[in-house]
Amino acid sequence: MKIISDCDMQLSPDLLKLLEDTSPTEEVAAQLRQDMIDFESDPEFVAGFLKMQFVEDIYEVMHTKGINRNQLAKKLGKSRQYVGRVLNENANFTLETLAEIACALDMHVAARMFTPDEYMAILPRNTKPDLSLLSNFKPVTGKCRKGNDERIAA
Amino acid sequence: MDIRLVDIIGVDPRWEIVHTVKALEINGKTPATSDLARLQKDDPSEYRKIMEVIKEVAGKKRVKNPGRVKADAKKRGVYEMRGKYARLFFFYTADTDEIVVCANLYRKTDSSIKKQESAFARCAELKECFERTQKRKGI
Repeated sequence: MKIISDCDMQLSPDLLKLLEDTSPTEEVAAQLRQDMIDFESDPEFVAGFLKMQFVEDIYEVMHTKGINRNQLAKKLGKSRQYVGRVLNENANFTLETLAEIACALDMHVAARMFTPDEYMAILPRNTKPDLSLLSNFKPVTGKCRKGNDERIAA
Repeated sequence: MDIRLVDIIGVDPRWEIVHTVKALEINGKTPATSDLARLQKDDPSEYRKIMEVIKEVAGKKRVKNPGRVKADAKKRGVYEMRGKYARLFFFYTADTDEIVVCANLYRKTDSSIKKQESAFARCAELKECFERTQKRKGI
């Protein structure tokens, strides 16, 4: 934990009340630690995240290719309501669903299993700052992708 | 008034591919983690949902799914991570764009726009306080 600075700003009564109703950090941290679960070993979390990540990928591709919901529905041969359910994560996501959507968007999709070590190896290189150096931190440019490219080149 | 960035217990460092995720502490109190701890106790499923969004935000430059991350309509540079009804408000550090700072949490119990707006306003105020301290230090 690093002190960044002290603030001379006058906080609003609303915020002061919020702070008054808040337990001290250490007390809260102890409670969170006590009930902490390993999310990466929790099927509910893993499934929820996979679903969210897939929908995020759909948004990303729609954005990149300039496709709207109607156009995606047309490509899929489904209703706009169906696309709405998919984007709201309310659809029944089967492997067939993933494949249909990926193919309709002219993308590839994979459902693979990795050991934790393998999983870390395929992630982009982490270039976020060391917080202990925050006081003299300079922004980094061309992060993740660059890390990936370097790894591929090596 | 002391301002610090503290770890959020439960956030796996392996998630922090693009952004580090921290919580804002003022005078030894951290509203975001305090409310997360309450949520963890009251509704573990909703707590999981928020943690899923934290993982996504930590691993991506900007999340595009508005159902999961929504920007403040008043363009104050604050955002909300969205579970089913819980909202975790955060901002990116201005100069570096590298740290996600979670400020406060709000549980949507009705469709009151006023309450939601005041939660956004709280986050904007915390962001301003954080940025002022950085400016004072010349960061």
